This record gives sequence, structure tokens and C-alpha cells, in this order.
Amino acid sequence: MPHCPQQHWSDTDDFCSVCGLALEAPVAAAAASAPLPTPTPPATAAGECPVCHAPRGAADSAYCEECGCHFELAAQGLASAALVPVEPPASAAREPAAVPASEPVATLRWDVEARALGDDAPAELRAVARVFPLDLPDQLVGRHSARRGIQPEIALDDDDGISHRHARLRVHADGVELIDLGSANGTLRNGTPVPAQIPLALHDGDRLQLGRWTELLLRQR
Amino acid sequence: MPTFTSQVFQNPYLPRGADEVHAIVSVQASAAEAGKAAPAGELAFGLLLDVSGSMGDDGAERLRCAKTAVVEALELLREDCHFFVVLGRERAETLVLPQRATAANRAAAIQAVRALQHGGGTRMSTWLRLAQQHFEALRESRGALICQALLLTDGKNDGQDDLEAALRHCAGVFECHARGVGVDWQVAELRLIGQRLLGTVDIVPEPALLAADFRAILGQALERAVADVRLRLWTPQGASVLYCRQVAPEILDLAPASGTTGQIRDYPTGSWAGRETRDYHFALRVKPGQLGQRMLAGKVGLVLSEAPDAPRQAEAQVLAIWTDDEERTAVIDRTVAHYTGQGELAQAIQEGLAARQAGDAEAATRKLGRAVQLAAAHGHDATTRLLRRVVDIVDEREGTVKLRREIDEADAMALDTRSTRTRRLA
Repeated sequence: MPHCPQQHWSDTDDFCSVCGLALEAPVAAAAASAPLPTPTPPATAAGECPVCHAPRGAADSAYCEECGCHFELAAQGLASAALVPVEPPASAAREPAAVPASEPVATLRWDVEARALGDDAPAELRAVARVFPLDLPDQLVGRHSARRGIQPEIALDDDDGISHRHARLRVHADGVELIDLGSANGTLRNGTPVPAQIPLALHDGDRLQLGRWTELLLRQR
Repeated sequence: MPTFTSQVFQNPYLPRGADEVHAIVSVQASAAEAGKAAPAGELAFGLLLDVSGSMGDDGAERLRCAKTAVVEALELLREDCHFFVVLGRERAETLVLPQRATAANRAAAIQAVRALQHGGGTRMSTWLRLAQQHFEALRESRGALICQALLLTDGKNDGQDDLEAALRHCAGVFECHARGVGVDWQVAELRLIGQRLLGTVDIVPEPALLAADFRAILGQALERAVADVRLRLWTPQGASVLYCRQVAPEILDLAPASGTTGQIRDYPTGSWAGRETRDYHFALRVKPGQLGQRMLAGKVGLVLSEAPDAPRQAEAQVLAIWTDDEERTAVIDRTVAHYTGQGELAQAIQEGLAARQAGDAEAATRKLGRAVQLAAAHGHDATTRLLRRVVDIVDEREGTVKLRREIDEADAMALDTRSTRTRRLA
């Protein structure tokens, strides 16, 4: 007899026919209580993330600080399909990593203007536009998380449809590029969804839509 | 009999303490044998024709076109169908009694329709009640039938008419498509008929277009293969249903059949064609579970009778899984978001037009501007075209519009009646 956590008498064997909770077959319950297999030790920190090509952080971390993928699983191609780009063009994907961070940035100067659009947006935010200068070679777009220690340069904390690590905006001598970091709800450029993890060159006047109601307008200063 | 399949679209992951579960269940009917259409069911078709005095205005063009349209519709009926014609004034009158659509019967009916005269008032509840009696008599003698009606009017109900009470009696007996010709009828009245009797609603701005519209309605009625399909929803103890709404091809709020409450509810959806797809949005409230718990928040299947043990087809599961993984709980399902947006679009249009009627230009501009923005965002080109006839669009993406000073009333009514039509995701 399947076991309902609430002790109901269920006449179905997947979910309890009274309270709907998932039923555990006795065998499965025993397996669940068995000790978990010890995880394989993570590889050393040398190199970069196989998915988003960000440099690996702390040596003892099994997960990428950038996109959250598991290094071992990603390397084996077992990471969730959403996180792995379908064949990124090799040159496009690696080019940004090849740019040394110390290179003098920006003969052109850029900023983004964040605005709240639509009826869902809080009225007090709809009236204002916030401007974030793109002064660094690389800035994170996302939301603060004290627990996970995420401090985005372009922090859009009001819109909870935005992922904590949502996207990166990288500035080069000849332009700006966007990398969506596999965000939960994706990013649109001028109304078209952008692929995750693939750098995309942006142009002056491009609009990025993300989260529930946020729009970022890229401008050349 | 067609076979049914279903598919669920939802994000089952909920944050700690959340209790609302949203899911789109897409139900598809297809032929049981590949490449062969399901045989059509036995059809009973009722024509409810407004012949009030106003139908004779302006040289009686409306009545003349309506007669032609009825005649063409009658000619489409197959010999195995049943039909009747009810004339609508302040009281209803049977012009053609329920009978088989044999060639002789149809010829006699056509002659009677050609000879009819206009004059009198409008009271739709009496027309619907008479149709209900005819359909019930047909069902008693013929057994299960697919009962469809077409109501045509050009005006609004005179004075106090208890349409609500009449619709309560008719619901479940027959389905009714409602059409308004001209611009002197009320969208709200016909929408109420369409919503309660699970039919379509539309404006026919020009009488000359009636014939084509009637042919289309009859064509889809003749394709109906199975009558009285019900969605049967199971929910866990202590759960409640916030709403169950058909969201495609049209937005239609579904009400549970009387007598079904508690853990099992039936939602009548009317008759189905052998090949079609309809989408339903279920919003359920469940008792929040512990983190890591998995729960069946709802189980949806189709039944073809009200018997409690009727076999369920195309059963679909709506799940709830509680987790503190924000990356999972934050995901907004694309299909749920799509239909939530389409619902907001319909509401923005209806509220905008109501504000315009009430003379509140500021609210009308704001609501219709939002509608323009939503229609553009969802690629709803048909609606954008209709909106352009009512407002001048300054900026589609920003939703900036100007109300037009001169609006053709037929355009505003077309926008209103068609606001509930939705687009499916590709």
C-alpha cells in the first residue's frame, strides 16, 4: 500500500487521492534514507567554466559563480539543456575572454537607462528613469542577494522577474556586448529573445526587456 | 467519436508559503483513425430570428438580407439533421416546428421564411425559452443530439427582460451563437448569451454580410462530432478553484455544473468538432506544503457524461512543488504568461471602450493605449487593426494613443465583441 505522509487512505498510487501529496512507495522511501553517494571531488580551479567561459572562482567550488552550472556535469554534457548553448560559434564565444581586463577601455562611452514600463510596474517607478554608466569593462545586471553575495553593478532590485545574476554587459573599444547568463525569464533585445550564454553585439539605441517590466536603453554618451 | 489528448503548461515550483497554482491545460480532439475525420454527430439546429419593427427600417434591407441568410443556411442542412425556426418579437412564435431537414420540409420552411413580416418589440428571453422547449422535446424523442442555435437581433431588449433567468434554464440544453446586425444592439446582452450558452458572439455591421456569416456558423455546427463534453477537475481536500477559464480560441469563463462541488467539479464545455484544440487556464488555491514536498494540485480529464464513474479521457496533472531555489520559482511559464497577457488585453479594450462611452476621455486613452501596447507585444495584428479604427497610434511600444474624434460606432462594437478572441502561441 502506498504511504501518504498524512496517513490518508489513497486509492491512487502516485499522489494521495485525498490530500494530493506525492506518495512514496516503501522501496523508494528506503532508498531515500540511504546515505547519499559521496560526490566526486571537483576539478581544480584552473581554466574557465565550460558553459559561460567565466574564470573559475574559489578552488573548492563545484559550481560556476557566474552561471551556476555544475562544472563536472557540464563537462560531461549532462547539465540542463537550458544552460548549455546549442553550438555557440566558437569565435564569438571565446572572443570576450580573450580581451584582457587590463586593456584600456572605451574610446566610446556608454550608459544604460533603466525604465519601468507597463501597468504591472509600480506607479512611483514608472515616472523615473535611472541611468547607469558603463564605466567598467564588464558589469553584472541583476538583483542584490545578501545570502548569495551577489552585488550587481546594474542592480534592478524592484523587479523580481529579473534573475539575481541575469546578464553581463561588456564594453570593448568598438562597442558593447550582452551575455544573458541563462536567466530564468530570459532577455529580449528589441522584442526578440536572445540566446543564453552567447555574446551578442549591441548598438546605440538598442532596448533590452527583462523581468516583469524593466527596459534598458543603451546609449552612447 | 474523436479521441482527446491533453498537455499541461505550468511552472510547478512554488516558493515557501505560496498557495496559488496556475496552469494552462491544452486539450486537443483528433480523429480516432489517422487520416479519417470523426463522423459528425446528429445535429439539431434552431434559428432564432429577430423580426421586430426595427428590422424593417431603412426600406427593410435588414429583414430582406436576414431572410436570404436563413434560406441559405437551411439549404446547407443535411437530411439527417433536425431544425426549427423561431420568430422573435416581444413574444416568441414558432414559424417552423422541429422536424427533419428533408428536401420537402426545407422547401416549405423556406417559403414560410420568405413570406414573413416585421413588426413588434424585442424580448430575447422569450425566444430562448421557446427554443429550449423545442430542443428538450427533440431530445426526448431522439435521444442525444448536438443542439445548436443561432440568434440574430438588431436591437436591445425592451425594458425589463429577465435574460439571466432564461439563460439559467437554457444552459446545458443547447449552445447559442449570437449575432447583432447594425449598431443598435448591446454588446453586453449578446456577450452574456454567448458566455452562458457557450457560443460565439459577433457583429455583422452590414446586412449584406449576414448570409456568409450564417453559412460559416452552420458549417461549423455540421462539423460537431460529440455533444456535452465536460472537463472534470479533481482537487485535493481543502483546495479551492479561483477560476477555470477557456482562453483559446476565445476567452470564456466556465462555471461548474450545478451539483458538482467538493473535490470533483464538472465544467461543461459544450460540443466539440472532430478536430480542434481548446486551451484552459486553471487557477487553484491549495494548502501550502513543506519545502521539498510534491503535491498534485489538480487532475483534469474529459468525460462525455455526467455519471460520476464516466471514463476520463486525456487526464492531465497539475503539480505543486515547494522549493527555496529562486531560480526555479522565479520562472514564469511562457504559455501562462501569454494567456495572462491576452486576458489583460481583452480587459483593457472593454474597460477603455466603456470609459469612452461614459465620456471619460482620460481613462479611455490610458486603457486603449495599454491595449495597443499589449496587442503589439503579443503580435495580435487583428486586434491592432481594429484598435487603429478607434484610436490614432502615436507610439505602439509606449502605448501612446490619441482618441479619434469621429468613430464609426460599428468599429467600436467590433473591437468590443472581438476583444475576447485570443491567439495561440506558435
